[in-house]
Amino acid sequence: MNRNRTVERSTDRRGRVLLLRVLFVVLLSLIIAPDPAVAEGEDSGPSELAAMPIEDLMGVEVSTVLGASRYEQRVSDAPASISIITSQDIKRYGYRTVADVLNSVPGLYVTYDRNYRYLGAGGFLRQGDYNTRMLLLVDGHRMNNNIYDTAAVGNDLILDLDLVDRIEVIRGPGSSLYGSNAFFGVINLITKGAKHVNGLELSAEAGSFDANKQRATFGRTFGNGLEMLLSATRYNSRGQSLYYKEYDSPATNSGWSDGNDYEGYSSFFTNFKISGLDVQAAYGSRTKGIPTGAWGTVFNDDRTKSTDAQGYIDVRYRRTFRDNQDLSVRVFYDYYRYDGKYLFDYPPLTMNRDLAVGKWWGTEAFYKTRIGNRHTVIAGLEYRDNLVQQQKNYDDSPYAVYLDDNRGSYSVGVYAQGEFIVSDRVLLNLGARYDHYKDFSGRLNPRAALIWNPMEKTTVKLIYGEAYRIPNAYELYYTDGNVTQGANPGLDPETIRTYELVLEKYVKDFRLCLSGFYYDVENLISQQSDAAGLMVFANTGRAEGKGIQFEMERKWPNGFSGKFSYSFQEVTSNQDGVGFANFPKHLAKFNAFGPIIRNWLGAGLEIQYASSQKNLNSTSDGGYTLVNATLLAEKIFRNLDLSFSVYNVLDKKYSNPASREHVQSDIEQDGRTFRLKATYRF
Amino acid sequence: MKTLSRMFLMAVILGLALTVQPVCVCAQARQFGEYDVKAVFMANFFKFVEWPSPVREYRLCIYGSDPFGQSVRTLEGMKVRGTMLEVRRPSSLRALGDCHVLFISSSERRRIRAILDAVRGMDLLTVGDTEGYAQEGVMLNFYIEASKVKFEINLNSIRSSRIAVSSQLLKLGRMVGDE
Repeated sequence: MNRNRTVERSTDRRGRVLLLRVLFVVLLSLIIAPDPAVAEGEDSGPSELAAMPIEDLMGVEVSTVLGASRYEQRVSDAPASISIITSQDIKRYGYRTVADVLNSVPGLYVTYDRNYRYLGAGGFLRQGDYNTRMLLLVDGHRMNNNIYDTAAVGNDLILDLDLVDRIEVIRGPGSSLYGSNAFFGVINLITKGAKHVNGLELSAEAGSFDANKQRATFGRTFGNGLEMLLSATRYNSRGQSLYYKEYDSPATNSGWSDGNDYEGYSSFFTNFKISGLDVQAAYGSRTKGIPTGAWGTVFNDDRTKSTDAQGYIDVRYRRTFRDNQDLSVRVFYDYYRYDGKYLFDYPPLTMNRDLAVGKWWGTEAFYKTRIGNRHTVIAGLEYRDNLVQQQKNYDDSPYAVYLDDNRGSYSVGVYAQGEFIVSDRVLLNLGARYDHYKDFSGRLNPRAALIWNPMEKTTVKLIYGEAYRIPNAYELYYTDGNVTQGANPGLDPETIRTYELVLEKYVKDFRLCLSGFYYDVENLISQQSDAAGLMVFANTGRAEGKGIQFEMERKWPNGFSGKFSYSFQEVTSNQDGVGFANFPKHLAKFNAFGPIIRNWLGAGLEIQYASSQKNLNSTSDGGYTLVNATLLAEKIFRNLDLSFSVYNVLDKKYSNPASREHVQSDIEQDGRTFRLKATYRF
Repeated sequence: MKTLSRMFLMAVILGLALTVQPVCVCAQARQFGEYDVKAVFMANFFKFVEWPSPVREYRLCIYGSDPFGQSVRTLEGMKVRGTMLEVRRPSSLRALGDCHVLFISSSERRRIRAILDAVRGMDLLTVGDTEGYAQEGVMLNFYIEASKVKFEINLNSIRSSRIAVSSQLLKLGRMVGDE
């Protein structure tokens, strides 16, 4: 056993040395490689563009990012490593949820336990963590709720993916702008405006296991400048019958969970814009059956389920004056409700309920100006008031209350960031944010980035950043009456320091990106067993992560496009590595799209490789490769879009490590599934 | 090691796949480089501008450190309204007299006033892509909004010169005043 481990470690080290060498050579050749177009004297420029009339040019998209500095800037000027996924990619690769999208992003990894989707970044993915260390924004509006800090990336996200125009994934600490939760990165979803829709759009989907989805969206721009968008979506899936060997006994249906994998949601979204005023409102509710017998609930009973509902109203006013100053003010109100129903056999059969209600409002002011035509400076102020943070745990009948915890809290944050032009080729980006939370001492999180363009179309970024996360209400106060889980109101915030080096180069129609990171987490909040065997959240110490990432993207003038990425990441901690093993050390992702018939029929292919991961029993699964394929027909019969997607084409049997609430050590994922989708614009 | 070598094999195959040129010539919407778009914009500007003296050959000049690189190569030798387009990179202010459209790079930020003073009366359409240039007096200044290249217009600068800019072009931009 011991010997095996040593052998494994040494091959691992050898592999790493090999990898580092390969990446070093690539890095070096990237920097010194001449632009082949120059070398060959070949025309590779914008010939396709040259034929465009000026009105069409006004509609051509270039690569920019909003979420990295809270204002629009070039990706190459942004103080972070960034990936952008467009609505076109979403169509071409048949993505159904944000989780699908994120699985295609270099270095990100999403797992599923048939209840929620869990997002990992930078090699870091904790069992039982509801995506608390990534900040999720919809048009800049914070989506992480005020009980669990959840960043919903599955069907529990209340925004239909069809309404998303672009997804910005901004890696690295973002607390210098956004405060808590922007620990490993920020995901900013930018919605489609009324202009994108213009009229009525109806969409219907049908997929494996009776999954079906309908959406109606109406968008209109009026003569007075008013832009209006209204959309409603409903989704239902019967789910599948699942077999779990851990329950293979006659008393538990021989391990078969039948009719418990159902899922359904409905969501609404509306957006009104008129001269600087932008009002957004959204609401959605999703219910998922829990087929795994999690937390020791009765196996194979469809009454055990979780329901998450969330809604918000966000009113923003933006004004530009004296041409170089931007002022925006935002007021928002958010609502979140979790209703968990867990059927236990104490005996007798009893329905235990977990209820969480969160209500909060807040306001933000943002100011941007330019100093001496050279430097861009922003400053902002944010206030958030958690009106309700309620957690309740009780049995339905006989009625017994185990927890009824009502809290309220507030936070204030002040931030500033400057983009300073040091010379023609050097940008310096400095920013910091100070946050004060009720019950926690204040903290300043800085970020500094040096952005250097050693030559044309080549950017080198050196970034240092700090971030933190305040323990959430669930970690601080949740207990089920000290049966399995205890509270720990004494928790401290966890902090991270990150160093990143990014090299980006455009060669001909290629984009190449190579980056490396190192981070150091302190006061990590994680779930532990205390002396009495009770699960409690505690500040358990340190973790160190490092990784390297290579990305190559190419867009041919004839409509073909492809990208490939490889990432290596590794996290070590002072706690025996438990809980850190469930992120694959190697991830490789490949996407390609090509037109088949003119520009109306095309095919998208996606290949994702994840190396071996260890579950909580330290058993490795050997890794897996998934293939997804989509056939897309656009604008047939005037305004009809049709697509057919097959996920896991090879029907690969694979699993994700399970968290502590499961008897299973791994949760098997979907085999081959399909989806047919039709969208018509009137 | 098995998984590692398998992964490398996959990386090599997929990496190679990207270097192969597929054979299908069909138009499809795609994203372009920012400067590819700006370069074509500038070629288009020639269509909407009348110079006081007759023009035999259109000259697009780039002053300061060149952000375009490859992007302007396709413009060279291109014909706009039947007239040849030539791209130049003059190194001194005195050489600017031959230009019709002058792109002033953001590297000249500190000298912008001096440059604009020097070219006054030269009948040039001045273009930039630096925040604040339009307020300083550059006629057309690119900016980016919602991932799209747009431009602002300093109408005072255009009116005080002898060139005529078509209203068709003016209605596409955003007007700004002097600072």
